Amino acid sequence: MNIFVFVKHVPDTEARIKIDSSGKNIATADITFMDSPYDEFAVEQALLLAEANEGSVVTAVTIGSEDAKQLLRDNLAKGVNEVVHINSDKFGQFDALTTAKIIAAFLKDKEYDLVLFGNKAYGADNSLVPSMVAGLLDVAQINLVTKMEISGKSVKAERQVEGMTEIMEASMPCVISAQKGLNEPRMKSLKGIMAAKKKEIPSISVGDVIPESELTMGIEVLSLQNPAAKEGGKKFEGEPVDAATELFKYMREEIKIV
Amino acid sequence: MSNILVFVETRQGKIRKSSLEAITLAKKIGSKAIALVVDADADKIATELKEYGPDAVYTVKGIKNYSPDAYREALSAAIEKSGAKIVLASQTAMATDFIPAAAAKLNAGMVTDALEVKIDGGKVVTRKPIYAGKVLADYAINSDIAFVTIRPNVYPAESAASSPAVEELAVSIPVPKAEAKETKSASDELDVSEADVIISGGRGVKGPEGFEPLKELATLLGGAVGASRSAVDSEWISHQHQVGQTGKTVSPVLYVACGISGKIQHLAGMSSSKYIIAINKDAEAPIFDIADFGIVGDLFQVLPELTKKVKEVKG
Ligand SMILES: Cc1cc2nc3c(=O)[nH]c(=O)nc-3n(C[C@H](O)[C@H](O)[C@H](O)COP(=O)(O)OP(=O)(O)OC[C@H]3O[C@@H](n4cnc5c(N)ncnc54)[C@H](O)[C@@H]3O)c2cc1C
Ligand SMILES: Nc1ncnc2c1ncn2[C@@H]1O[C@H](COP(=O)(O)O)[C@@H](O)[C@H]1O
Repeated sequence: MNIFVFVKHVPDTEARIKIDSSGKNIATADITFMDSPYDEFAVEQALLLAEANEGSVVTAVTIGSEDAKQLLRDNLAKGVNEVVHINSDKFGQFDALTTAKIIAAFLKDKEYDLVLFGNKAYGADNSLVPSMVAGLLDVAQINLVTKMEISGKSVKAERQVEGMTEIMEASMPCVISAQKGLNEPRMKSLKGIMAAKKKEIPSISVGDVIPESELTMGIEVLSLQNPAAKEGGKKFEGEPVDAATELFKYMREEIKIV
Repeated sequence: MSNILVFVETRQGKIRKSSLEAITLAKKIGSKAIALVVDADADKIATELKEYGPDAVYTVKGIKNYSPDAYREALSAAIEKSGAKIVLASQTAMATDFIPAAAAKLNAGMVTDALEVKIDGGKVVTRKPIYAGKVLADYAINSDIAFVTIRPNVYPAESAASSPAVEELAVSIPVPKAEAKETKSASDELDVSEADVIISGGRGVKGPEGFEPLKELATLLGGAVGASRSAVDSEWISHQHQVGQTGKTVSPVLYVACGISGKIQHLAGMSSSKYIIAINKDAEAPIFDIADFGIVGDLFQVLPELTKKVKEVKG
């Protein structure tokens, strides 16, 4: 099987996010970057599938700045076979639509059975790219996958939708976006880290993939702001019975919910 | 101003409440709100929709099971017919599954999980939390057609009677590349993303049985039970209930956090709740920084007392 997995380099989820002086971007100077959490489930699934299907090739691809190469090195250390870095000048340069267009153009002349994504990139918090890529390539898609199996050219997968589990069947080639619960992502192995160190990370430019004139953005950032810190309100410390009385009063008189 | 097409989601013949919210919003910001219903029983659904005031209802009846390809065709046909420049839907697993594919095919921009949508200088402008709520972004959608999904519970649905024309769309339904074969109801429980009241438990509930008092209160108040990741990872409750960065984002009227410390990844999922109540033994727990009302105490002592009082009035 030919498996592609798309990974994004994003700010550490623990980091405080500040806005830069333009008011339209985040200040990235003091932030360390990491693999977007859901992408790790996608990578793990690619590796598991490759292990179960001899002769498979897993290629990890990122669109990102020079620094994002580290992400590909980490994925090599986990066991992916090939990596491609599509160079973009700065973090957050592309919106979901243009990102999807770059990815679709990249895949167009490749042979692929499965294209794996995280279901949502931390930061952009969009959940758009996987479905948009499926639309542009006109291939099957199953999103938010928590369980999947392959037989022949078809994929059977479970996804959690509001209040229920939906069991989907699709024909390959298929876009899959991974949700937490799909698997337990592995760590990099020491041997893998050593091997990855020596590997060349091939880098191409966005212009090699798609004419930049086709990359008009669907959305434009007007401004970013940190939400006003919410003030803590009343606090009550005392006997449970009195606490309950106060709470009940609050729910009845303020919230008007009982 | 423009016509707005609203995708009305149904599951097992029932309208999703948050789709009604989308109709209310469409009526506020558009000149005409046109609802699209994809359901074998679409006529019945159309009748129910009248109470919420759409100007027209389009129906598509020939799709048996949910399929992103088939729904995409239905949506594209409705967009073409309505001439809508804005497509609205509630932020659900179904909407974010097939609508982005339709948007991309039309070379259109899309914003998901919007908290606010307005039309400003002829453009659709939306506010959306990013970085798990650490940042609020205002976006303008630049494409000819703008696609937006709105977070459930942010715009309350308002009833407004209308007598819309109901019209069945002719859609050539493709052989689906992906299709739902079966759905297993987790239960009949209300999903946290749609609940007005959420009673949520964390590591402090100590075990699966610790969720019982939370369930009791949630049921009394017609709400749902939520959970922190610690509780989910300990397998005390299923992931469906998890609130936070790697769980669901919720905006209920009332969120009661019981035995939850208030780590940033949890806050990411619930800080836009209208009222937040926290019950925690530790007076220094960060959850108190964002709670409108904090109780420093043992949840196992406070909750039953509270439930008793609620029962007296709801009895
Ligand atoms: C990438 C990433 C993603 C994450 N995503 C999520 C997410 O989606 N959702 C999420 O919740 N977390 C998430 N986390 C985990 C998060 O960082 C915290 O570990 C988690 O939220 C803690 O859960 P908790 O508050 O239940 O447990 P704890 O932090 O252990 O807090 C338990 C609290 O219970 C109180 N307590 C104990 N006994 C009682 C009692 N009898 N009565 C009252 N209070 C009591 C204690 O004082 C304490 O404050 C994520 C972490 C990472 C790194
Ligand atoms: N710049 C990027 N490079 C590679 N993959 C990406 C990029 N942006 C998004 N993706 C993929 O698309 C998924 C969903 O992203 P989003 O739609 O932005 O939430 C991510 O989890 C990645 O798998």
